[in-house]
Amino acid sequence: MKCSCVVTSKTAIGALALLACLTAGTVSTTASSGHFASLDERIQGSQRVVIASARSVNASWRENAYGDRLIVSHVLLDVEETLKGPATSNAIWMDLEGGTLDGFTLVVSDLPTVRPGERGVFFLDQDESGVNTPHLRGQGILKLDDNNIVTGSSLRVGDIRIAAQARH
Amino acid sequence: MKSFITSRFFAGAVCTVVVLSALTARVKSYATVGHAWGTSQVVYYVNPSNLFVSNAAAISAFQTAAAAWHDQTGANIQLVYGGTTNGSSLTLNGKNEMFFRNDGSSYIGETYWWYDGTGHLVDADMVLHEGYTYFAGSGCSNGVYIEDVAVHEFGHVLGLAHSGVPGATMQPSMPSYCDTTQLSLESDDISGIQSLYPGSASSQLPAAPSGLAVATNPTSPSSSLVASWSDNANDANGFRIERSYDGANFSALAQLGQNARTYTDSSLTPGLTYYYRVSAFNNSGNSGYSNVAWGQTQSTSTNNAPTISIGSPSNNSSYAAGTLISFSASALDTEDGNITSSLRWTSNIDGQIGTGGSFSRTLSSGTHIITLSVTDSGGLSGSTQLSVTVAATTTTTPPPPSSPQTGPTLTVRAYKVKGNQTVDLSWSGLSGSSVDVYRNSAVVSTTANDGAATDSINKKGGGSYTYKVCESGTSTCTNTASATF
Repeated sequence: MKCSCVVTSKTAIGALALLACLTAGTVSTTASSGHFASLDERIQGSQRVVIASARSVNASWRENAYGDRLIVSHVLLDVEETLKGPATSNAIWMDLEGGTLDGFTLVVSDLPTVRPGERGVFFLDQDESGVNTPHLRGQGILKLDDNNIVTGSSLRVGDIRIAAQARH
Repeated sequence: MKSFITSRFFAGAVCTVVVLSALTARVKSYATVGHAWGTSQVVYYVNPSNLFVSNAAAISAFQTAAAAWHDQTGANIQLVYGGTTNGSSLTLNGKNEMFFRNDGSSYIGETYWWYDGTGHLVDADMVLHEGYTYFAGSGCSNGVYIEDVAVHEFGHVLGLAHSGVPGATMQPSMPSYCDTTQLSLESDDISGIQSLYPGSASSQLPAAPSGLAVATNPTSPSSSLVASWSDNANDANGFRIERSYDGANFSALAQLGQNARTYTDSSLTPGLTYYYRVSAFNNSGNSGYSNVAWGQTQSTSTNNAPTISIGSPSNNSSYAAGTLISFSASALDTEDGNITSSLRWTSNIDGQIGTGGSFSRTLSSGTHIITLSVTDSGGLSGSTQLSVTVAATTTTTPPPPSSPQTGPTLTVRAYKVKGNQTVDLSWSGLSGSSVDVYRNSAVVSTTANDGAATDSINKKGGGSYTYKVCESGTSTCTNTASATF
């Protein structure tokens, strides 16, 4: 199957093509179906999108309503740029299941680990108590390499920025 | 974790696929977290409670998924089913628990695993979210096969992270609803698990068969099933097929040659479900098992038990001893019609007392529980019971000592012949050839001692007479009896 859309272009034409593709993608998908969400869905579904770096990570034991007793990492993010949502602070907190504490490390299959210094695009949801968590679990964190490319993909942070501006 | 790239996604937005390809480009091969179990056997427990399939089917599906990581890879690791658990929380408790949770999550499954300061995995829990409809083995429609997602999650349990290789079981997305491809590990998955658990001599074992399917045998659908499978080994000497009635407890069924790819199981009971699994073997031993598959023989037409209606005697009826009792009943069967002639009557006292719909006979004294039973051509029986009481046989009460009647006895019967008074006399106990008949203490005749005589009184109207009979010429007499007109 060959597609006429190209997403790696840095040109305006390429960006427009990307947006067209993203828009087309939303026609036939829903955010609640549990599938691998498109970039557009992640932008639209999250409350806040930021480009940020992890300044610190502190783990603690947490117990939830299901009786799960988990290690949860409390990540302080230094915000470089807000692509969606309130740009009210240069630093925000994000909670992420998994981490190391008391000699044990918890790994969650659908969540990445975030270490101090790591940089990425964070699609965030905020609960009633103001705690930020990644939107759609691990799909809400796209780590960036030194070239501003999403790790393991060809997607550039500029493409995400354009998409966010188009949808925001 | 497993999530979906749905078919809607493919069908509706070709361009989006490209965006996703950029976003989730899979150029990376298998990944691990760098930690493995410090043992070659990892025991897991299943909490099979779920909204969709039977507990047995759920357990079987988990077992099928777990077996893949050893049977298809030769890796020196084995997931061992430890039994069921009530656990349903993700907790570091040293017990690897697999369970379902109806929590509204949009994900299919997740695994939480723990390692300690030595770098060894120490706990792994798997949760399958019931926002999706689960199936096991077959029959999937817009849902997920437990074994198909569990095999991915078991990869996490063993320390594998997500792979970027298309088609790999450890790729994070499932291809579609009702996918079954995950159960077949790709070379990338095998490389990953072997990197964590390098193969041992077990790698000389044949690869496990896969794709086991069971279908009814068209030539005898009510009593025969046909199992078929794919051979994944080039070094198998043959196959062994096992059968189960519950999907959990299997028994050996047959050993087959190396060219066998099907097996016909005959002489089965109509309408029952049978589960099967197959393994290959060679000189090194047995492979792991294939997936578990099941089939159901067709039900034969429904057979109904016959019904019985009793005419007589009535329940709880009573009869004098020696009474000839009439027995009647009828039996009807939906399939066989009138089967009254097959009725069988038994008494708990006299045993079988008759057959068929009508007969008469006496019963022994006592309270009888009469059972009527009949069996139709399909082997179903109907029965009913009633109680009949037969009085004890009358016994002669000995006369009281004050009026002994131990000697000769006489009975009389008074009647009239054309108006004339006539008396029949019957006696016993007298000896001698002749007797004297006394009426009102006077001999009225001497006759043969044959036990009977008739006294014809040439008189009409009423009156009363006393009789006795004595041995002729002696005082040996009967009692005195009265005849009244």
